[in-house]
Amino acid sequence: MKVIAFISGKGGTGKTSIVASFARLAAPVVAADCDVDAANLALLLGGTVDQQERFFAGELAQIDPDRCTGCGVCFERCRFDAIRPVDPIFEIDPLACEGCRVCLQACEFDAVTLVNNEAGKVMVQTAPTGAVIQAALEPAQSNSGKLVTRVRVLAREKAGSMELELVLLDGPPGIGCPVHATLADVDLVVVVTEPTPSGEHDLARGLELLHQFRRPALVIINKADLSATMVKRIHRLCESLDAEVIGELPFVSTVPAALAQRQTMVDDETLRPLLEALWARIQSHPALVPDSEPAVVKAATP
Amino acid sequence: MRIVIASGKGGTGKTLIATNLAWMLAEVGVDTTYVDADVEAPNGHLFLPPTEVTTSRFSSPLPTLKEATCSGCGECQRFCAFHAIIATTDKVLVFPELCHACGGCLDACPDNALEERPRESGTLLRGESGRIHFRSGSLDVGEPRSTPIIETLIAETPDTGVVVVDSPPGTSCSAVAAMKGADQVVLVTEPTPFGLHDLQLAVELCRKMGCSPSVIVNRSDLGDTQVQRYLEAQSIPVLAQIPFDRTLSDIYARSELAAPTHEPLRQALRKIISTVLTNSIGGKAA
Amino acid sequence: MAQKIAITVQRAGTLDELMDSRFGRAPAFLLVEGDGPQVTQLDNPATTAAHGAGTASAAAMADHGVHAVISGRFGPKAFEALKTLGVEMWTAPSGLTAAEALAKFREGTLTRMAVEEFR
Repeated sequence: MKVIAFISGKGGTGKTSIVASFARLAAPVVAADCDVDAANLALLLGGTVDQQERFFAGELAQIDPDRCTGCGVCFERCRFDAIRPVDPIFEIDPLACEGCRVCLQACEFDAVTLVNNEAGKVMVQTAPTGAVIQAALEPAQSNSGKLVTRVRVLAREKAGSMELELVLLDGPPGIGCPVHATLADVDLVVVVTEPTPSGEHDLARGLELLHQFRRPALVIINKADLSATMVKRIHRLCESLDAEVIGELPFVSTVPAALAQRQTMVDDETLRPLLEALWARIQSHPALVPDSEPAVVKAATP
Repeated sequence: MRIVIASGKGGTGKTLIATNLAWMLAEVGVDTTYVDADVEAPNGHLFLPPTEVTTSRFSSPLPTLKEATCSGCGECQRFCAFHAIIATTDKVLVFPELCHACGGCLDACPDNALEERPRESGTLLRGESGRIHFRSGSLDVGEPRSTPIIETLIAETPDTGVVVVDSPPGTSCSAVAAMKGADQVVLVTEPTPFGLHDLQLAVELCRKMGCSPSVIVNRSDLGDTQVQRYLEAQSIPVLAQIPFDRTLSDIYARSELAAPTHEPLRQALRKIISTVLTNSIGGKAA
Repeated sequence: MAQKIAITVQRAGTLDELMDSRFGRAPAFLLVEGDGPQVTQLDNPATTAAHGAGTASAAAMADHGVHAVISGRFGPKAFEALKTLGVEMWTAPSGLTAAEALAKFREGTLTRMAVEEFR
């Protein structure tokens, strides 16, 4: 089984639309949305949810108002600004609490308890393209790295049980914890960028991260006709960072309206052949050859 | 007054609005600070290039073993909720990527064998961009946790005049860090199913934090009417509708500010400023 | 004292269970003492951990006195933690049952992870 992750650094480059298009071309396939605080892939691929699980992440502190004496030791010790005074005692701000247990350790009156933190849910959906895994993180939750891990693991399991050989991961924006969780176990990474200075800047940071993670990277320049100069600059950047640009897609102003009709970019006559060519390039990458060893984990005999 | 420009979905035009809004505020004579809190993908400097720049490294305290007194009891490892410590009889291994710097292991240690030393994970920058005070943070590539640097960036920005914060996208901890304590939250969205889905989450987040957001609809003529209907149903004030305009994209692609030359955007920003500065809509985010 | 071997498995059970290829997020471990037939089941406490599943699983191995662990792959933090704790890491191909992986380990045909090559 092979796993391809799509990331972008900057949001709004068209990554999700492109992943949905490749899912259509690769079907049947497992597609998983690792952008757990703004999951959009399932909106495009459609289908019905047929499996759902609750997602717990760590613990949150609670203060028992009957036991709290208002001494304020927890308030002084908490480094996350998660304890607020409600005269004459204190309470936990669940949005700020990280579940570190410092307050529990500090309280002499056993007023602090820990409760499991229900942070969201994970859903498996059957779509025309195969299975779609998506998660919904409750707003203001942290821990999205763990939820991403759960999505990724479920995607692999689903591919295993459906005997499918390919998993596509739609990654989150940025370069932080949820992106690291997305990249943990993938064979190939495709970066979707756009020819703007912001796109270029975030692409450079994304490629540096992939270099640190030792993941092979391919690059797609979306909305390429926005700026010929920037396209050239992105080509030069990729060359210097050893990332292969596999192609460009033009900006098509009807795409947003088509999205509203739940149409993906492959439904567009201009874009379809371009997407097919890109997909062929991705599929022929050495990292996707069946039975090839994972690119990362190397072991040495003692 | 602190105005946070946020969005559930990435790429809706948050930075376009935030940088041009800051420029326009300064243009009409307001003492303005622009803060780029999207520390994983900071782009504000491309549009508001700062001069007189000073940078400082951001660091968090990381527990470290003071060799001599450790008895190898393992209490630090047992305490750590983040599994960031592995203790053996002669060694304490701390995983910086997992550590939340809560300080609990220091208290848990009966031998007083741990101390905290600063560990760097990003850069804070301040400067001046014309009349605008410029501040930004940048997370080091490879570092997982962006929240601490965002919190420090916001806390160190003096709350004078109008502070425009360019928030990271999404609705999880990093967006919360940027929005905390805001006087106004403005959500930038686009009228697509994606935009609507992520807008709903962002509105829910704002309400959890005790503030009522207002909204700017970007590329308002590309897509469908569902966002409009949602905003009406929820009685969420719309500050501006900005139609798609290829020249605006071109200006953005040249990393230039659009407000100085683009009249429709300028008008929209004027309207936003008068609403935001005079109106008491919103309410402080908890 | 007989050496204790752990194998990551997809669910707690007998040695006929399939090995799980992930160390940190494996649902369970089977513990085997020396050459003996006795198998102890151990649910992985880290599967529900919000953070640091790799280090938490590694700590569980040390707590149970495990000498060597067999799995498909080890994450970089798990690797570092197990190395510090002095637990040997051995990798087996996926698709094997725990019994098959154990047999290969005893024959000496598994690979020992010794060099950290993740980042």
